[in-house]
Amino acid sequence: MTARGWQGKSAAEWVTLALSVLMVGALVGVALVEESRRQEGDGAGLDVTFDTEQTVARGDTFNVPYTVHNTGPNAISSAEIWIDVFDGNLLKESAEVTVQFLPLEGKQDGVFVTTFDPATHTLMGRLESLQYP
Amino acid sequence: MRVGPRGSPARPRPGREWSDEVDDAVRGLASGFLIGVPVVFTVDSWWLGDQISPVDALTLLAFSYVLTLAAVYWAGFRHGLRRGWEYFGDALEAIALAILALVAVFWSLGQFGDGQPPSIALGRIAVAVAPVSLGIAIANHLLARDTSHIDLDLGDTSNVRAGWRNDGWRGTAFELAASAAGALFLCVTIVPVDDLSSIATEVPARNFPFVILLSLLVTYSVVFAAGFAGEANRHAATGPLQSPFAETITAYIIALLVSLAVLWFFGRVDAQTAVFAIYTKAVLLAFPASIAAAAGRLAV
Repeated sequence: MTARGWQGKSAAEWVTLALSVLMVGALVGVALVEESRRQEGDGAGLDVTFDTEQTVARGDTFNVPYTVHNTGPNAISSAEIWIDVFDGNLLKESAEVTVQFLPLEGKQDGVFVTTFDPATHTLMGRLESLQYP
Repeated sequence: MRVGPRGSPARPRPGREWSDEVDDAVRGLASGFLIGVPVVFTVDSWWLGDQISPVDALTLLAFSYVLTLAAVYWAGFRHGLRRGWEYFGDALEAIALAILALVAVFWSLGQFGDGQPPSIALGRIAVAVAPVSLGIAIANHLLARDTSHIDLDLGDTSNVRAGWRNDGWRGTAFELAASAAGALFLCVTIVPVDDLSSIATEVPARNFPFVILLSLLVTYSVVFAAGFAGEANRHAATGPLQSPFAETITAYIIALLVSLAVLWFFGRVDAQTAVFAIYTKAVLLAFPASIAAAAGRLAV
């Protein structure tokens, strides 16, 4: 007994075709959702966050893990970011960090080395410039 | 238009619809891996996928579908009579199989999930889907089916050598040499551009066992489960190391050794290289190399 279906196509072939439509449809759906999110994003979204709880003290310096997150609508080929260390409102240290490539929603982890204890100082990242591919 | 070897039975065969369906899919995937895996192991294609927008990805997907449709029309990966709109369905299935293959590869390499944004997965799939789906779409043409050997030219050198396969150690040595030749053929096209170093830095250490497992699975599928030429003979071979499991493991080890040799020859590893760095590069390179090694065995 065979499971022939409409116009000679077997049930197995129909199932394969249905799964294929679902898989390709899912990919198209993801693309449309991502495009929609991309169009809602602002022009130059780049977040720098510091994980001060994971700071490692090495002699007179402190290694502070940080993450740069591209929240904008475009991939970034290069970005210059300044990391400022404040003691209250007083700027104590500044250093430039360059990110070479960040895809859409991409993240870049790194470690910022400073002589100031992040437990008693405030770290802030600010965007200096961006280049697109 | 009849697509498939002369004299072969039309598919799906009554009562074997599901097994024929799986057989066609596995054969298509095996062919897709053979054609598409060098592109997947080019880090520039990863970076390109990271940069393109979702709209660009959709455009690439549509372009890949048109190319695959043409290839399905002229060669195809299914057995038996195809007509009319079935070509459109087959092309869609080839694209879906390519997406499935790429998800498996990128997942094993730790590039999907694990906090990676969907846009990266989308872009990388879109860039690599065309070569893989084209490989799937020409499965009928790339490597012969089992039933295509109905008109053997007994005087042909390859058919004379094929008789060695059941000749104990001689047959085993013949298979191993073919595996090494296939692996070497692919390694010398990947190693000189040194994309492996960039890829190795992006793959989490915990993912390398998955890469090894995927290599073994694909290799086994190509030689023993995809219905390519000589599969029945390979299952019946009696020489040392010629059971499917032993032959798959041995061929993978051959692919690893060839990978290490080529990496060393091109200066990508040396005595000063850390052991873990050697391990990562060898395991990554052995994935495409083991698929090529399987193809090498099919070629003999």
